[in-house]
This record gives sequence, C-alpha cells and structure tokens, in this order.
Amino acid sequence: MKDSFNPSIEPPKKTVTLVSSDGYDFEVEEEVALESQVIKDGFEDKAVDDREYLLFNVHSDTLELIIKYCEKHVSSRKSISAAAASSSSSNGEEALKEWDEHFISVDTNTLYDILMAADYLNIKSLLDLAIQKVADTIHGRSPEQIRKKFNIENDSIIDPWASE
Amino acid sequence: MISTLPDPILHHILSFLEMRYVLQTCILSKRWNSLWTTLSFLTFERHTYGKTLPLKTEDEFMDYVHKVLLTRDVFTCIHTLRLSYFHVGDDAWLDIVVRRNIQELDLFIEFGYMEFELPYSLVNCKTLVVLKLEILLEQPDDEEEPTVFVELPESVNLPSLKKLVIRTFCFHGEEFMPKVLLNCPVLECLSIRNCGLHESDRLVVCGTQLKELEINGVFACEDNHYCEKICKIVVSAPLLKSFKCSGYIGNEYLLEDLSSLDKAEADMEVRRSYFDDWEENVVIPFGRKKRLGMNMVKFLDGISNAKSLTLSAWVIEVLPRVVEVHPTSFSARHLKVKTWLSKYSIQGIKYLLENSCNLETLIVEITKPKVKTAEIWESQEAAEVVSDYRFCKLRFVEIRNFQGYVNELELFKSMLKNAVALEKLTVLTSRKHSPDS
Repeated sequence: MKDSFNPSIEPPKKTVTLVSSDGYDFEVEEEVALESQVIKDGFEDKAVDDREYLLFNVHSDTLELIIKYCEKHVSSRKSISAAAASSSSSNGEEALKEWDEHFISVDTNTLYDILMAADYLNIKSLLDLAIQKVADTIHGRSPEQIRKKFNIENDSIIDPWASE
Repeated sequence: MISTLPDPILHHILSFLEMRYVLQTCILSKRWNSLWTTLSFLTFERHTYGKTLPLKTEDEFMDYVHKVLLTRDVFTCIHTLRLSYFHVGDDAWLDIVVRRNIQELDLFIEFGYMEFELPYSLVNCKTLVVLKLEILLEQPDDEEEPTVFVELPESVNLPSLKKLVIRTFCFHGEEFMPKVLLNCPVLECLSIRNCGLHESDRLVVCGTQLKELEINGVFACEDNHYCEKICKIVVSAPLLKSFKCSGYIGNEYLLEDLSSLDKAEADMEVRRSYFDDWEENVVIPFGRKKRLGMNMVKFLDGISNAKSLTLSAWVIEVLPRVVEVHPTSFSARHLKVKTWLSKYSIQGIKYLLENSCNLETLIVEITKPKVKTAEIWESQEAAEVVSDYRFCKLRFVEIRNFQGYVNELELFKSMLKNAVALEKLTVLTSRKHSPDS
C-alpha cells in the first residue's frame, strides 16, 4: 500500500521479440510476454540481448490476438490492484470479463487457433476462456450440428446410436 | 480441426458439459469414440433429460447413471462428480465412484420423504476432499424451505475431507454437526446455508482445523416447518481465518475461541428467514431491540480480534442500545460498514470508530433499508458524529452512494475533523436522484 504513494521514476520498458510461424517479428513488453508460462519458465536463464522467441506453432494473425489479450490483462490487473490499494471501488473485474467475452466471440477456426496457441504458450486464463467457449458451442447441439460447426469428418464405422 | 487437439484439452472441454452431450460426442468421429471413457470430471443433471424416453422414471435415470459409470474406463479415477437426482434408494452409483477414488462430489438430491439417512459409503469415503450437499423435499410448499431431516449413519469417517458445503436441509438432533466435525479431522472449510435444526435449538461448530466458516441462515424446525424459536450458535475454531455470518439477527451467538481470525463479516438482518414476507412493515419493540443489540455486542466481542471487519446495516442499527454498558476494543485495521445512517446507526458507527484504535481504512456504504421500516426513516434526524476522539491511524476513507443527506454530511465533516492522519477521502455519489438540499 505504501509503495503506491511513493512517486518513483519508471525504468525504461524492457521488450521481448516474438517471431510468428510465418516469420513476422512482434516486439512486446516483457511483462506482456511473461503472461505465457512457457516464456516465463526459461526467461531468467536467457541472456538479456537474446530475448527472442520463435513461435513455430503460432501464425501472425493469431499471435496478434494473443498479444492483444495479454496486454489487456496486464493493464487491467494493474488498474484493479491500484484501485484495491487505495481502497477505492472499481468495476474493473466485471469490465474485463465483458472484454473477454467480446474477445472470444470469433469464428470456430480462429477459436481453434487461439486454443492451440494458448495451450502451446501455456496462458491459463486464455485457455480456460477458449475451452469454455468451445463447450458452450457443443452444449445443446446434435452430433450432426457439431460436426458441421467444427468441420469434423464422420469416419466412424459403427454408429452406436443408429439402432435407436 | 478440433479433433487434432490433444486428449487433455478435449477432456477439459468435455468436463464443462452435461453427460448427455458428452456421450453424444462419441459418434462424431473415430477420434471421439472412446474419449469420454477416460473423462474424470462428470456431470449428470436430471433436468437435462426431462421425462423423455428412455429415462421416464427416476429408477431409469439412476440406472442410466449407473451404466455410464460402469462403461467408463475402469482404470481412470473419477476426480469430480456433479449429480442432481431424485433419490429412489439405490446407491449403486455411489459405490462405483467411491471405488474410483472420487475426490470431489457435488450432490443435489430431491427426496420424497421427510427423513433421510446419508448413505454409509458417502460419509465413509476415504478419498473425498470436497463434498457439497443439498437435499430438498420433492415439491415442497416453498422451494427454499429445508424440510428433509437428515440423519447420519452410525459410523462417519471422512479422513481427507477439506471442504464441506451443506444447504437446505435440517440436521436431525444436536449431535449432527459435532459428529461430522469430529470425524472430519482435516476439515478446513465449512459452509452452512439455509439449514434447519430439528429437535434442537443449538448448532455447535467446534473445528480444530477449520480455517474458513460461513453460516448463512440457521433456524429451528418443528414438524416440517421452521418455527419461531431462537437458535443458539456456538463456534469454537482456534485456527479460523475467515468467518462470514448472516441470517436472522435474533439468533444467539457464543463465539468461544477465534484467536486466529483475520477477516470477519456480519451480515445479519431482521428477516427471520428467507421466506419471511419482505413487504411487512417491521416494527421492533424497544425491549426486543435491546436484546438484539445485546446479541450483536456479544457477537462483535467474539470477532473483535479480526483485522478486517465488514458489518451490515442492521448490526450497526441495533448496537447503540447497549454499547454504553459493554465496551469492546477492536483490533480491526480495515472496517467496512453498510448503513442507512439513521440517528442510531450514527451512534453505532461512532462507537465502532472510537473503540478501534488501529483502524487504517474505513469504507461506509450507504444503503436503504430493504424493509419498510418507518421508524428508521423517522429517526433520520441529524446526529452529531464529531467527537473529541482522534482517529490517529485512519488514512483512507471512502463513502459510497453519497446522496447529500444531513447525516452523510455530518460523517464527512467528522472525518475531516477527527481523522488526523487522513491521506485520502473518497466520496462516490449515488447514480440515483440526490435530494435538492
């Protein structure tokens, strides 16, 4: 609580370079990149000037979305904790939830890409968000509708439900 | 494309779904054929199936649950089972999940009779860590009314249970809760919501390992309805960190050992239970108010060592009748009060502030009484908050829903005058209309 009242000079932001599977460079702030547990795990062992990550599994289109998500969560977390420290009220968490909802309202292919990337980079909150979205999509739909929605080819030999 | 996802992710997705939809996925493609058999988070909800064939009767539904559990992969443990069902007496499903090392059970049980004995294998499960239990009488007069009297089998042994949540049923006899606590040696978190005490008016919660306790609505039951009797609630938990208590303000509390308390929340109200009529004009005779005040003073005495306190409007409203004769000193550093700032409430707040010398943060949330209590509004007259007392450590104050009533201004003035160490005073106005003054 004390620290928030000591004006301190912010150090220049450190950045990390993320390279997408199709070869694009994304320069992001360190704390944004650290939202990924995979990056965080080996982070300290890497030399400061070698903070470049080749993300073979993440296309630039998806990476852009992932970075947008992480940036939003880092900045929201800061404003929520700042509000808590000065004991002022905030509806930050609700606003973030709404933002998440909007963020994940994408077509199934994009959703799938986000899911894979979140799993690969190990970003737990994003993975949970994407998984909940997929579950919501399956809920209440017939197998045929699910196949169509997710592009699943029916290669089953026996249909155990067919006899009914 | 979704089919190329690894098993853990697909399992994670399926764990969010009711079994009906999980089972449907097995015909999507080869990839999905046997995926469900190794799922360890299962949900069965009776209402998802309606009364459609082939699950017309409750027996058939339980038969279906049983079959699904038997068809699963026998070597995969069941981590979590959520099940809502109508109890028909066959507990075969329970024996299977116990054998599969179940860790978390969330049961919503409807029952046709008034007396229910908890199944032996449920309360003797060695692996169970979390148990949530809600038991309702089928088609009761009032959905919220606990009318099933629950009894324990002779032997209870839950050596791994850490969290227990019980809702909407009556404990049969005074020995119910002590027996549960005695046989759950590592229980850390207990939540009792909307429960009745049958053939007893005492609830005794003595837990040596308890860290979190929530008591939300406890009342005495006779026949199959709650009755007007006052309940006595005894709590002793030396390791308790967090205590939330709400429900009828007239219940008597005996808080014995709460020496580790960190956070306490008292959210009592005059409504006797969930089913009392809100519209009624509540008039509380002076003598009863004094008794309620005495109850609350005793309660606050018990939680006085908490570092963070949250108190509801009624708790504060009834305080001033008795505080003069019974001063308590509070160690709270953070205090949050909800209040309508009536004349009496102001005195209650004053009392709290003057007896909390470590207070650093104060949040006052202004609310309106939910019941039509004419007498509260009549006592809305101005009351002095300003005293000679100095709040030496109070640094942050926030007043929420400020509308500009006279007592709100008094409180504001007092903060400026008495809080000598004040660093920040936040006033948030209400979105609703403010008075013209």
